[in-house]
Amino acid sequence: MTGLSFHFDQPSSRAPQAILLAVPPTEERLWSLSALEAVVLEAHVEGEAGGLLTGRGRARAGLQFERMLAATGLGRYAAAYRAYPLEPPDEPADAATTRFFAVMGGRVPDGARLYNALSAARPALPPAPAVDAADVVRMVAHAQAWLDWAHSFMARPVGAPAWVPHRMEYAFGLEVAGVALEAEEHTDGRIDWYAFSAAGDGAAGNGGPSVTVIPAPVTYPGMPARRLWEFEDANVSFGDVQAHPEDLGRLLLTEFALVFGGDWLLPVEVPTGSLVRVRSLLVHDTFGQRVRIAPAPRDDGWRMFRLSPGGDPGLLVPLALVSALRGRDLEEVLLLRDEGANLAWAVERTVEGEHGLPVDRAQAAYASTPEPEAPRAESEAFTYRLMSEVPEHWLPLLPRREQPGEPAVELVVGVVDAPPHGRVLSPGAVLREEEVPREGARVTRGYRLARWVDGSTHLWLGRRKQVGRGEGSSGLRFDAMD
Amino acid sequence: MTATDDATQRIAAVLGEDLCVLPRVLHPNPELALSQASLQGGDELAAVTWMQRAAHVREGVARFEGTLLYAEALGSPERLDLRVAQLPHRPGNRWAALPQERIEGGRLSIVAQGPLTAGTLAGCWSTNGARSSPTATR
Repeated sequence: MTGLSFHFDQPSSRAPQAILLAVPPTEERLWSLSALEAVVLEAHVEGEAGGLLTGRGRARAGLQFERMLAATGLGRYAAAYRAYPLEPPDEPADAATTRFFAVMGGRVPDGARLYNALSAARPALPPAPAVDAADVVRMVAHAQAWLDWAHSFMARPVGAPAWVPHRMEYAFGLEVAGVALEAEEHTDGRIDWYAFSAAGDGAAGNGGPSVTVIPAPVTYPGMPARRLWEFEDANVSFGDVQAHPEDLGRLLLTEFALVFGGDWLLPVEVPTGSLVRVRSLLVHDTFGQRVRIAPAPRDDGWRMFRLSPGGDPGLLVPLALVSALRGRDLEEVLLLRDEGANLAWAVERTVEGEHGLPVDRAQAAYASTPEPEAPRAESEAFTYRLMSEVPEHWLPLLPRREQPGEPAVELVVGVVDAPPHGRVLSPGAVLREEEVPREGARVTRGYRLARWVDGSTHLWLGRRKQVGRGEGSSGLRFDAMD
Repeated sequence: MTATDDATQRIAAVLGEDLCVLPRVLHPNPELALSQASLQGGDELAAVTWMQRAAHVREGVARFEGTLLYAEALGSPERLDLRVAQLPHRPGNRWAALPQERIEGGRLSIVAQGPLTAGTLAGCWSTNGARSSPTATR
């Protein structure tokens, strides 16, 4: 576990706190200053290399290079930098990609090729195209400015990605105030205290500010009256709430309303990205007396906001986003069981096309399916089929023993006709068997956009794992006579 | 087909009812055309980067960006040329979409394609950019 924490223990300093940093599960990595800038937890955990991967992204970056050239008064070199043209792939995956490159191919600079050439030549310029000696300094500054733009346009993973392919989930760790925190199963969405479990209590530290607050009572309709003979609100009757034993949410609400209605709240504002501990509580009452409230005894049971059983009693306030705008899913993979074929499948329903839009592989497979043959006449001979056809985007998950002689199995992404087109799956990738449950799983990939505390805007590519759509049927049959 | 004097109905009759004809928008304040560089923090392409990022999560913006990508590739004179205005107009203001410690409320940001010097804009597009930013404390 590596990480960086800022911990202040001096008298009159702020509460023990730290800036939370995403740490991938590998240990062979060091933080750099650039990694510390503008840390957005979700973006750094979920972010993956994008931006210059698709034809549209490369064209966008190439045209941005030309715009920035024009803005710096070097627009006359725009034609020369088209020596790095955007070229179509050898085999376009779909008709939309063919149309995209029919317009863009050869007409705009390829941002990825420019990026590679300028990065390799830095701090000088690549040998081609030639730049007048009088313009070299300005062109070097422009190249650096464009590289900075390309770097900052989309958040990238810091070091190794936090995505764990064999579980289709994120796993990452943090260190805050000396406490190692691990999030083993983050499946996208908001990162909050419940995503983490803590190992150890961390640095004790005696520092921290004294905060004086006036307690406020909890109030809500139907709460128990505080005075003995006061009539209670009859419009809300928590005693009449019907809840089954498994209806935990309703039971928790009722218990809180009936038992903890006399609680008082102590509003304390704390910095985000901190692990807050209350070391002592001193009550000044209206009679001028001071009463010190002792901390509740520790126990090993489950408690709200606790990061591990019996562990650190601090409250984790992660440096995380309130909300992020989500683009539509660019890639969707269904993991499902097929009891009929006695096999599990990974179905690549949509993938990101070169034009930057999702390509519906399921629709393409449906459109390319030949018309069903007419039923066999009585007089015709039987047709023997060794194996029935399965759509190209259905990739079998082949069971394999994790260890020879052991009963546990894992699933390997197999290839029938063509390898996966997207980035969620890769040929030969291994999945845990439990990641393909009976209800299935749905893994999607799409862009997220959010603003941070300082108003900066962050764009990143994130993945999401949700419950699937149940079992499926590939129609796969062997040794069939039609 | 019946004769009509309404240009909108004529366009709909030729190109279909689904084609949305945007009304012309009166330019609210000629001073808005000024101070593009200072409004965008010294980077006149800041609005372009903002729009390119928004195009990843807003399909309407993605179509707009895609159209101008094609236009620029084909050498069309209509190129991506975004101008920013902000109401109420105050000299030295910073565009609300840029990094800043505190974003003041009650401001309307306008991003327009093309120069803002004319008194009337031919059309406009809008995006629901209401987003909540996290705060430094909770």
